[in-house]
Amino acid sequence: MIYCPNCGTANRDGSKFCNECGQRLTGAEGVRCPMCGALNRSGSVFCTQCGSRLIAVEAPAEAPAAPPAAPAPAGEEAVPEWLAKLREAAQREVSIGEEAPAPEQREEEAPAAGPAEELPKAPVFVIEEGEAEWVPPDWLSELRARSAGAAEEAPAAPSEPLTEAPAAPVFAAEEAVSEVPDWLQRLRAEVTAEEAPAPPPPGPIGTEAAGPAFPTEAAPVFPAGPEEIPDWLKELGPPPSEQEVIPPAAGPVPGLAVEEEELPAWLREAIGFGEAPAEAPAPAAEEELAGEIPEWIMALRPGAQEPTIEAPPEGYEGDSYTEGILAGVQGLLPIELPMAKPPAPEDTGSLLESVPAEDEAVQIFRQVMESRPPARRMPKPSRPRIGRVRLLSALVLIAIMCLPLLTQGQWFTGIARTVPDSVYAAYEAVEEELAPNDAVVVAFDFDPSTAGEMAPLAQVLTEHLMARGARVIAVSTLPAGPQVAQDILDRAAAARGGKSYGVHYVNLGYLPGREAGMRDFLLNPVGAARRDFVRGQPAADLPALQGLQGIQDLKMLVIIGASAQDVRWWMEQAAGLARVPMIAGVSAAAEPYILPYYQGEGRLLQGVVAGVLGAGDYGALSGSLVSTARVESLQWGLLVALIAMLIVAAVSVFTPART
Amino acid sequence: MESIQSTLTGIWDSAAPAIMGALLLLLVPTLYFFTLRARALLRAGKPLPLRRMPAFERLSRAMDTAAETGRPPHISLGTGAVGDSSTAESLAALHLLAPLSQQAAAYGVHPVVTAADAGLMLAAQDRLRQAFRQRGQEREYRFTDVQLIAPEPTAYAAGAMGLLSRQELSGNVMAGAFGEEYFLMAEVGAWKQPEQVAGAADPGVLPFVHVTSEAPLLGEEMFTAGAYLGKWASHIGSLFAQDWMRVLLILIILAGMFLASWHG
Amino acid sequence: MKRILPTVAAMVVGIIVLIDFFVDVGYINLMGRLFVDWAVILAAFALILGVLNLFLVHFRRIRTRQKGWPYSIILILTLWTVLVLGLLDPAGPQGQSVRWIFQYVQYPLQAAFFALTAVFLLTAIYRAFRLQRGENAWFILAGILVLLGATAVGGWLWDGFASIREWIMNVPALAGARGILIGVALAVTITGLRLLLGVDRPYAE
Repeated sequence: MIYCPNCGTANRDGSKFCNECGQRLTGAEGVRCPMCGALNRSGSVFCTQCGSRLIAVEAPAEAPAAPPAAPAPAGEEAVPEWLAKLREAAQREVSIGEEAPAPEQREEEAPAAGPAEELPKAPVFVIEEGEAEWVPPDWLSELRARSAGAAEEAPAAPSEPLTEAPAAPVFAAEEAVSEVPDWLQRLRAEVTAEEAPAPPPPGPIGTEAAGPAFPTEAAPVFPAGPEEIPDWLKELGPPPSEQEVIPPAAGPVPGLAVEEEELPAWLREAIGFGEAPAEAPAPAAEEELAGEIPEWIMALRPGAQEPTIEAPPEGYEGDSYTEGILAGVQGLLPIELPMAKPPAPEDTGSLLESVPAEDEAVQIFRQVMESRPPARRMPKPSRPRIGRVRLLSALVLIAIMCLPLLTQGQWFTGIARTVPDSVYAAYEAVEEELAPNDAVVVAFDFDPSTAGEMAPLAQVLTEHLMARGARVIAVSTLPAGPQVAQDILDRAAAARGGKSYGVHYVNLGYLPGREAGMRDFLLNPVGAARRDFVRGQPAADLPALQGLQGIQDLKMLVIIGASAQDVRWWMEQAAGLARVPMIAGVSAAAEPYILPYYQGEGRLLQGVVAGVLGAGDYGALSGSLVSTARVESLQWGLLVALIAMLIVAAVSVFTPART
Repeated sequence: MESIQSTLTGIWDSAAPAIMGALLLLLVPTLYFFTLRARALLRAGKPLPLRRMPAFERLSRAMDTAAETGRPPHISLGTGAVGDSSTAESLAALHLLAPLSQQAAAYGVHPVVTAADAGLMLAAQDRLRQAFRQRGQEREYRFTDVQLIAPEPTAYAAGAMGLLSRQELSGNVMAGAFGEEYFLMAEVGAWKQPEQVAGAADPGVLPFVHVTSEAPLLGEEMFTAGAYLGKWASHIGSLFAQDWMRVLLILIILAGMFLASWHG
Repeated sequence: MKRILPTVAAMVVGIIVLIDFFVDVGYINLMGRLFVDWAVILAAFALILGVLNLFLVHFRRIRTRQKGWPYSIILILTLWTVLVLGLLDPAGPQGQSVRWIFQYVQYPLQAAFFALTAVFLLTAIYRAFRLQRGENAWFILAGILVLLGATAVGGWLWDGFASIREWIMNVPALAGARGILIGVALAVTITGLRLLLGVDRPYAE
C-alpha cells in the first residue's frame, strides 16, 4: 500500500494519485521508505508508517568527491567536540577576509541535495588570500614531516579509476609511508580487484582477528588507494549531490569554495589533489598521537584486515538508486553491502572455523551444513476426517429415509400409536367451535427452511378448516411466509373442492413489524393488510373479509409457527385484546415451550399439534391424508438417530476424552 | 385455594398492564442505586463481586491471537434486528462488539463483523469507527469491515459458513439473536476456527450453543459483556439489579408453590 | 447538542411507545402507531444502505481476487436478476417470474440447506462428547429416552417410554428453559430500561 504523504490515506500499490485528496503519489515530492514503501514528505527523517529511518546516520561508503564547501554556521547539527576545538583554534589563527563569502552565502552556493540537506555540514577551514598562513598544531606538523619523508622513499602508487563503479568517488592513491602507523598505512594502501590479496582467514568470532562480519573473498573492491578516507573523516564532508571521480590531476574541484593552495597539505592529500606536497604531514607515531587524539577514536581504528568495499550494485548512481523501491532516496547506503548480504552457503565454512580444540566439532557441523538433504515436496494435506464422516452419515440418512419412498412400506405407521391429548383437543376445538362461514385467521409463520416439517401440519389444519366451511384468512409475519401459505391454500382448496379465492379463502400477505404488526392486524385486519397478496385487490373489497372489524369478529385464531417465539407473540397480542379460541401448530422442537399454554386451568390454547407425527395423527382424525411415506421416512430417520446416539455414547465411554 | 387462584387471576386479567408498569417503575430506582454502587466500587478500585466467565477470557485470547498472527476475528451479531423484539439481543451483541473493537483498534486488527440487519450493520459500523477514532486511528477504519450478508436467516447462515470456511480467521465470536440456523454456522466454526465463543438467549438454540462452544454464554450471560469486558458502571449495576429482581421472583414463585401445596 | 439531541429524541419516542402499551389515550395511541410506522420506513432505507454495503464488499472481493470471488459474482448477478424481474413484472414481487424463482430455486435451496442440520448434529454430538465426558452423560441419556418415546420402535418395545419422554419434556427440560427465560426477560427489561433512560447510547458517541 502507498500512504499519501498529505492525508495518510492508504492507496493501492501503483497508484499515481491519492484517492482521498488527489495528492500526487509519484515523483520527487516525497521520500519513499525502503522498508515499507510508504511515501513520506520531503525532509522526513523517519517514516510515518513504520518508523524506519529515512536518512542514513553515516555518509555512504562512496564518500562525496566535493570537498566541504561551506562552513557550518552556528546552530547547525553538532560536530564532534574535538573537531570543534580544531575549528576554533583555526579560526583564532585565521582572520576571515572580506573576500570570503558569508557562511550563509556559502550554504547557498553549496550544491542542493534533497534529504541530504539533513546531514551536518562539515566545517571548512577557509584561508583567505593575504592572510597569515595557517599554522597547524605540533602534532599535525609532525604528521606532515613523517609523511614527507615517507613520500620520498616510496613511489606514489598511481590511483586507478574504479573498475566496477565508475561513478563512485575515488580518492587518489598516495605513496605508502613505511613509518606511518598501520592504521594510516591501510588508508593509503592501493588495492585493486585483481591484485588484492585474499583476506586472511578470520579468527574466532568475537576476536579482533575475526575481522568484519561478512568478508567476501572474491568481492570486487574499489581501487581506493592508499589514502582511503575513514568513515569518521568522511562524516565531515557534505553529502555529495552526485558522485564523481576525482582525477588525480590537480585542479580546482568543482564546487570548492576555496583554492587548492589555501587548504592544508594533509587535507589536500586526503582529498587527492595530486602529488603530495613536500610538506605533507607525516603520520604521527601511534604513541604520539595517542596523547592528542581521544581514546575513543583510537579504538575505532580499523582492524587487521583491510576492509574491502564492494562495488555498488546495479542501478545505484551517485548517492541514490535510480530504480527499484529505493529509487530517488538519497543519502542511503546501498542495500547490497557485504553486511546486508547473507553469506553464501560456501562461506559458512569459513565463518564457522574455530580454535583447534573445536575443530572436530566444527568439521562435523560443516559437513552437516554442506550435506543438505534433497528438497522434498510437502505432502498435500489430507482432507479432514470430519468431512468424510459427515458425507458418510448424510449418505446413510438419505438412503434410509428414501427407502419408504421406494418400497411404500408401512413398517412403522402400521404400529398403533396413541394420539396425544393436545392433538385430539385441537381437533375437537375445530369441530365444535366453527360453523360454516365463520372467519378464521391462520398465521403461516414459517419459511421454506422449516417447510419440510411444517407444511404437512399446515396442510391438514387448512384442509380441516375448509372442510368445516370456514373462511380462511391467511397472513404471515415472515417475508417468505405468504408464498408458502399460498401454495398450501391452493392445494387444500383443490383437495376439498368447490373453494374459490377471495370468497372462501384469501391471502393477505406479509405483516411488517412483528408484534406491532400482529397487534395492528388484530385491531383492524382490513386496515392493516390493505391489499391481498395474489391479485392486489383492496382488502375491503374482498368477500372473505366482509364483517371483519377486529379480533372480536374472529371465531378462531390458528397459529402455525416453527419457533415458539412466533406462537408466543401471537398469543400474547391476541390474549391481551380479546378471548378468542386459539390452536397452535408447532415444530417438534418448539412443542415443550408451547404445551404449558395448553395445560392448566386458565390455558390460552385449545390444542397443540406438533411436528410431522402430530400432523399424521391430526390427519388420521380429520380424514386429511398426510403422505404415509413422509411419516415412514421420519420414523426411519428417528431410528437412525437413535442408533447413532447409542454408538456415540458407547464410543465416548470407551475412548479417552481430550481437553 | 380456588378463591385465591380466581382472585389472583381476576387481578391479573384486569390490571396486568398496571402490575407490569409498577414492576418497571420499581426497577428504575433499583437500577440507579446499583449503578451508583458499582461506580463507587470501580472508583475505589475494589474487586467486583462477579463470578468468573471463561467465555470472556477466551475472547481476550482470540484477540491476542489476532494481534500475533495478523488474522482477523469474525464477530457475528446474529440474525436479529434493531427495532423489533430481538433488539435487546442485538444490543447485547453491540455491547460485546464495543470492547472488542477497542482491543482491535489498539492491536491494529480489522475484525470481520457480519450482521443480518441493515440497522444493526450501521450501528456496528459506528461502534467500530468510534473505537478507531478514540485511538486516533480513524484513517485505519474501513467501513467494509462490517458486512451485511443477507437479511434472511438461512441466507445469512450460508454466507457466514462460507466466510468461516474460506477465510483465515483467529477466532469466531457469535452473540446475538439466533434461530436454528445458528447451528450450521457454529458447527463450521467449531471445526475450522481455533477459538469459538458463542452465546444465545433462545432456549431452543442453547443446546446447539452448548455442543459447539467450549465456553458458551447461555441466556442472560450474553448480556453481561458490558460489565465484564467494558467495566461500565451501569452494566455492572444492572447485574446487581437483576439479581435482586430474580430473588423477588423466586420468592413469588415459592409463595405460589406454598399456596398451591397448602390448599391442595 | 450533538450528544443531547439524539438521546432526548430516543428517550421521548421510547417512553411514548411504552406508555401507549399501558394506557388507552387517543393521541398517545396515534403517536405510538406513527413512531412504529416511521421505524418500519427507516428500516427500509437502512436496507438500501445495507445492500449498498453488500455490493461494495463483494465488488472489492472480486477486484482483489480474494478467496471465493466467483461466488461474489454469482451473488451480484442473482441479486440483480431478481430485482430487475420484480421491477419489470407488472405484478411486482407477486408476479409469476419472482414466484417461479421462489418456488423452484429459493424454496428447495432453503429446505435442503436446513436438512444439513441433521448431519451436522451427529458430528457435533460426537465432538462434544469427546471433549467433555462427565456432564454429557445426562445429555446422552435424556436424548436416548426422548427418542425412544418419540419413535414407533420405542412404543413397540414398551409403552412407558412415551410417559418418560413426556416427563422429561415437561419437568426438567421445561423448568430449565423457564429459568433461562426468566433471566433473559430480566436482562432484556433492564437493557430496554437503560436505553429508555439514556444510560446506554449505542447511537451516539
